[in-house]
Amino acid sequence: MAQEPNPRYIVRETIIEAPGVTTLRLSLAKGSVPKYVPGQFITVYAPELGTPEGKAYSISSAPHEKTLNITVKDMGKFSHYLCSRKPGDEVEGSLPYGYFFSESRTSALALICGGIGIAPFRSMLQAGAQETPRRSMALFCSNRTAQDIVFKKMLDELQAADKNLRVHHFITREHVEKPMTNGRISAKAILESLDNTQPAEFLLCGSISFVRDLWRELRAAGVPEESIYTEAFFSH
Amino acid sequence: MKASGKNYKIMSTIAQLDKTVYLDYAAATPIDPEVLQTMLPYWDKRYGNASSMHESGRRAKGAIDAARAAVAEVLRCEPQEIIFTGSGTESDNAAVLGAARAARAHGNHVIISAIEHKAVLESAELLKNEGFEISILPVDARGVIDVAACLKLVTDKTVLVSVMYANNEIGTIEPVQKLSAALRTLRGAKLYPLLHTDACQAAGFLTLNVAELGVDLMTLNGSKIYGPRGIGALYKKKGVSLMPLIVGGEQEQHLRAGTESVPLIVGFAAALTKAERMRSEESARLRALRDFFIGRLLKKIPKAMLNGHPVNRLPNNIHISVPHIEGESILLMLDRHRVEASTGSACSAYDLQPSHVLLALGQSAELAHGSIRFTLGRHTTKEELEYVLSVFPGIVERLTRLSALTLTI
Amino acid sequence: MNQNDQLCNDGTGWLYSETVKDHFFHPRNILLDEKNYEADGVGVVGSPACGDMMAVWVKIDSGTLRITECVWRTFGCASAIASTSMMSLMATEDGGMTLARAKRMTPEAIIERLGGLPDRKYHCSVLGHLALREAIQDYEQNHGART
Repeated sequence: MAQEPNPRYIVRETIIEAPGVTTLRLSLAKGSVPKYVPGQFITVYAPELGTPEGKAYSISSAPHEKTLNITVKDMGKFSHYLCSRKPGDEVEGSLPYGYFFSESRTSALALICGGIGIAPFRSMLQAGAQETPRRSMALFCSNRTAQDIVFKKMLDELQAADKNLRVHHFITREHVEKPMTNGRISAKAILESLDNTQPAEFLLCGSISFVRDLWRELRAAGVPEESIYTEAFFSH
Repeated sequence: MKASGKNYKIMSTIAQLDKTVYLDYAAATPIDPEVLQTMLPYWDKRYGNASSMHESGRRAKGAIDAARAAVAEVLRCEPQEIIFTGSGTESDNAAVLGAARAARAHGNHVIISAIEHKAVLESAELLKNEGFEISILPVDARGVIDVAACLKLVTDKTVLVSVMYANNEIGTIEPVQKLSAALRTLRGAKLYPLLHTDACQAAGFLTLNVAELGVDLMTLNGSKIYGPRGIGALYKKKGVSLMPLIVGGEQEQHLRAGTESVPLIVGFAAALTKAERMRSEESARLRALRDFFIGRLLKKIPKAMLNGHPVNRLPNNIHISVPHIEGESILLMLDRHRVEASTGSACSAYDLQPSHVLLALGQSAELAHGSIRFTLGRHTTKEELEYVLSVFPGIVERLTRLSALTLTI
Repeated sequence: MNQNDQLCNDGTGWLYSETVKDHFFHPRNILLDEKNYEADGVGVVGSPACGDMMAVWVKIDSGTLRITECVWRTFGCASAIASTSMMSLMATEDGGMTLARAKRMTPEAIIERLGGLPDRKYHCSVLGHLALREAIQDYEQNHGART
């Protein structure tokens, strides 16, 4: 791995997306943004917090946007530090990295996330709307309450504008009405929603147990390993 | 790795006896059988509540008073200067939070060393939320604080300084007496800053005479001195104000509410008394074993380094870092050979952080990951150490061979 | 498998499964002599500061695009060593994985074969997955091959 010093990103703006969830819009000193592919992440370093190895955050912006965004849920010392950054603050981070993206240009995509796991999918959906609008995409999004849904408005807008995108919300701790579903996401629910004539790929993003459980369920339902990509978040 | 005739005999003896070589006394000690005996009647025969007015209650109170007097005897202080708590961690919390909060009107600055136990570090973190400013006193590469540097940090707003007597990880002994003398000169007739010291690891090895040490607050606990777990003590010099952490009763002079655990208190006093009685001889015995072990270890594994002060360290502490390999994996291999020790590596910590003590020494995170601590105790024999010396180099060799840090391309 | 998982997911202590212990005490596919090994792809991930670093070398059959050899070195805890060992086993068993499948060897797949790992060791399997991924990426870049 490179021994060059880590890029210093500048916080340009912060946006509160949902209770306890903040998007940091970043760019490098001269306003440029490093290249990345939707689904990749950057590692943020804050050695003064006693964590020399840094923490990874998925990029939530799409490459055509002017800033590189990360969307952080405040649930620990490190994430709290990030959520309290202000415009003008410097954040030390790595260049974008990772392999959490479909290598096919044509498969139907099932994007499955829990909570803040939606971050990389925002990047994929926004980029998809621009570059591959005819690609079939289905987002399965699990949250505790409807209020916790991050990027809800954007999702509604994208779905309204694109008939190839369907968004399915699953709410686990609160009673909701259709079109939202009560209860957790299951492989059964995912497979039933998909059009079986098209080969599909499945991208899972969320907590370790969320990803593990759904990976197992999909495998048990006969989905081949080659078709599943995973990205799990450890709590920070 | 060839086993010499003598090594083979030791190895097979240990294996035959189905024995574990326990070298983690700094984490926990087995209770002394005599101490256990003193505690027994207080569970079921003399079970009265010390706050009750009847005979059973008065008997319980008598036992607590006697225990308190025994502890005061070891510390050379007044009995009412001893407060019993539920653990060393609680005593640290009570001292740091309690003394700082009580002193709020006089100032809002607290100084703690960079290598304090987490109970002190996190108590100080909490104080930050209450408007206190915390200064961290750095240590040198061997873990020793500089008294002059500490004095420079003191301002007229400083109310508390906390420096541990001996560090639990690397065993370095701090110059507490020198520090207290300097601080008392500095404060003159004023009350502040107070000096607190965590002496949990020092008990049984170093003097606890508070007059000699010159401290205002001192933390002790039972689990490191072959006493019961779940009991701690806080020495609080007469005249020092403390805001209680746990309220709801008049126990411990209204400083620590809760029905006292008579058996634990009695056991703690017995353990401390015995540890003090054995101190001189046991320290000499362990020091000799320690130096033998360190000498042989560093000879067999030349790339290993000893952490902490080479001379001013606890008689029972050996703490080394081995480059290129990782602590948790070393421990697991030692465990298979029935040797029990501990590590400062991040991988074994619940919060995945490398030891803050090692980082404070200026050690790289990489080296901190390869650290191992062996701590000796009352049951440690030379034979046991020879056994460890016979298996440890092989473990280092095995892990080094498969390490990515020894790549030569 | 389920019982082991429960043991391993308590978040504290080791309580490693028998499989993890087996791969830790008897790791497969270690590369002892890297100077004399000619690999088709190399991947290095992690860093000493993180306490986890893995180097993986692969040999690929250019006809079938299967991994014929996968060897490694790891600096890290038992979970890291066991993860790399298991990954190397999975990559080369049954005639060797195709590159397409190997790229999709997720941490979940490695952990499942290991019989579970404590949650706080999850990142060790992530590194195992990434190390293989990097080695394959290295091969593909040098051979212009796309699977």
